[in-house]
Amino acid sequence: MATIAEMNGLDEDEIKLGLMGTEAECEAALESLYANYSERIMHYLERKFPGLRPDLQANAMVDSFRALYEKVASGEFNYDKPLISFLYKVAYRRAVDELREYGCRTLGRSEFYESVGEVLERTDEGEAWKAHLAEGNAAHIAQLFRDFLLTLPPVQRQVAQIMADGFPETMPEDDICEIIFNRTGKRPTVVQVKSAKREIRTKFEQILNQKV
Amino acid sequence: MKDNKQERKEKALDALMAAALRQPEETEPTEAEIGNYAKTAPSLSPEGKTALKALGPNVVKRLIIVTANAREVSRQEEVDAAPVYAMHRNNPSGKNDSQTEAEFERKRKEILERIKKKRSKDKK
Repeated sequence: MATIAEMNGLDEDEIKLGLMGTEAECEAALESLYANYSERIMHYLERKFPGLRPDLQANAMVDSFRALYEKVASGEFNYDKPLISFLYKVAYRRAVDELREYGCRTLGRSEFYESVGEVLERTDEGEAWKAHLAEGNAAHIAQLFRDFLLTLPPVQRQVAQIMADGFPETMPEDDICEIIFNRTGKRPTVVQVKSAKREIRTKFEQILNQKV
Repeated sequence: MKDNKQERKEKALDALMAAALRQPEETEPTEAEIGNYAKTAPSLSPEGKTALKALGPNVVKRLIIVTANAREVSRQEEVDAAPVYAMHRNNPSGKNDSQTEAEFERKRKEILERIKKKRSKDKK
């Protein structure tokens, strides 16, 4: 079976051999990986975490290459494991760390999902979601929403992320403006935040009610 | 003033949006998912492209230098502290022991062998 690297015309074994070689060979192997996967990993991170600032996504991506080099240089890298998956998984974990570090979560995992369940009870939106779950489309719907966020300017994406982080509390628009300023250095107006919330909800409702 | 139904609807939408943003944090990517992402051509957002560009040139070269320097500093610290750690660690130099070297060499040969096989298969 072809490895992930082979699907992109790279021979994973050749890359591994390069990593095991001289300093110059190791650097060349890393350069080749970076040229082929830096953008792909960034793309993966933005589709998973559209609310994470792009510079932090880029940091997470670079961290994955740094982690690989560290493992290689210290002789700890396990050459039996798939190379490309290592990069994606490290980038994923770093991105989650970044998101949690600057996020302002009010609830832990189980309380969060309990609250979601309670809020959805006896609502049309809850019924629509149940139908998507039953048809196995829920993950696709969630991805459509995240992709939609990527079409918004970064400040508006932050509105969605802050609403999500604060759930189930509804954060006052003033507070959202302040948090966005702290995160991005740009301060939106209350009117802009209200309009972003409206646009985000309207779009999500459309996505939720569409047939997949 | 919003009526109760509108308020419940907004809250429900917020709940689902929050879940859509939070869900990816809960599950590590699988090999299949990584495969799907890795084989498709990336179409980064303009902000993503800018962030990637902002990393500047020679990213790999720079990260190698930074990592190598950090390793050197930490190795030096370990060597300096060797008398303290001596009872627990016999190898503060950071160099691999002979068993690890042998394992590394075995693995290298194994990979080399696979490459040779692939090349000879390609020739045929």
